[in-house]
Amino acid sequence: MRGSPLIRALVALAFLIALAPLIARVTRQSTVAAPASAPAAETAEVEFALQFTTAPERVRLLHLGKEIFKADAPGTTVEGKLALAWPDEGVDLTADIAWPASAPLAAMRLRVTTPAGDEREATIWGTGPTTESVTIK
Amino acid sequence: MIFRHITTLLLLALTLSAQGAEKLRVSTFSTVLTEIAERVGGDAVVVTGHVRKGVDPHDFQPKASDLKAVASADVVLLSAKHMEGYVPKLRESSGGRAKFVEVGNQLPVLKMEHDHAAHDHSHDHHHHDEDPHWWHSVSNTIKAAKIVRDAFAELRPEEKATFAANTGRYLGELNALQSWVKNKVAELPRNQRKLVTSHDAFGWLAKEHGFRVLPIAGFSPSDKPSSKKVAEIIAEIKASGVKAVFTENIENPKVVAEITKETGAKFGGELFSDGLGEGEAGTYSGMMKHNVNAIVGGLK
Repeated sequence: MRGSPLIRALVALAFLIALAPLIARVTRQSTVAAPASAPAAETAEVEFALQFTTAPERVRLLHLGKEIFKADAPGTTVEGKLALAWPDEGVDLTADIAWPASAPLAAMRLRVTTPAGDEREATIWGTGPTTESVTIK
Repeated sequence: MIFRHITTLLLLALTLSAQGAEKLRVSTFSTVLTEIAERVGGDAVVVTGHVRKGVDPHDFQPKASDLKAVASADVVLLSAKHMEGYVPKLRESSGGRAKFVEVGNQLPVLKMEHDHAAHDHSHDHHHHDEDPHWWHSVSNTIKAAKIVRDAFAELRPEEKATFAANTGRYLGELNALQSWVKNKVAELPRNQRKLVTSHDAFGWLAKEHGFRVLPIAGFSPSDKPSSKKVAEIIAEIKASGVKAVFTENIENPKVVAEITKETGAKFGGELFSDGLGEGEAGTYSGMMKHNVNAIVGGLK
């Protein structure tokens, strides 16, 4: 059975069109789903205060591994404001404090006013260079 | 005659001296406890670790050679919290000679939700509602080191100072590790702390660091997840935007591969759930750092 090449091509095309829905379904099943993204937390401006029993040589605050506040020779009290992404689950803040090597055991009290207006406190103890994370909810 | 008496006395003195210097024989049934025993005991102990690195302790059964070693042990360290179902066999082999220290049973209890419909039981494994994987809390490991120190000191009071000094050095490392874990996890937003793993082994890590664990199977790696459970996890991953799914070093990651394909979440890497592994996970500190780096890196 030998027809014209044009007719054979048209038959083949019609066959492929008939199979199109099936091919589309098979292709869709093998496609990897695009990853969803985590719901973004709203950024909030929060007030903070630091109080030291011994004045440090330097203090830094980090949020999600990034520096958000730094002060050299800040004295024994510091106050300020921070803009933070604040999910319902709260935030972790990391304090990186350099107390003088000769100083005895010292403490830093961190006070934060949450976006809801509640005051939260945490205390970090240490000697010399101290890096410690605290959770504020 | 006098010569014979002197010889006898010398032999007696040598025997007593040798007994005094005899090392404490320790049998352990957890890779984490093997490290603790070696670090706390130092040169004053000989440790036999019966569960090797990378072996699933849920499925471990002692062989005749293990029972023979236990028969001559002075102390047997057990992970406990229902992890070792073969303890009666060990006690029988020991014949009351060894002190059995069920370390986990002296640690805090973490009750876990357990959904029996979520996986199929294809093995003879008894489920309990307490998470037996206590070593994923560094605090627990610190407490475990002190328990082992006290047990060793009770059996060898003359080595008490040595055990205390060894433990002090080890605890210094564990305290530094605890701070490192907390600071590393702090790099991850608290609303992204959702941990999808093959089996339910990371409850302690979750409790201490604010994770929600979505286990595909139950407490044991050999638990098989039901298709309903897998569908629920896929829906949860899609809804909450979990970025990575993790497998464990001692099992088949086939189901995890299916989940990553369906959800688009990436494969976050292999975690060491049931004890120490090989390479960088060959020490407790290395295992914890490997797991935390993988989790934080994967979910960021």
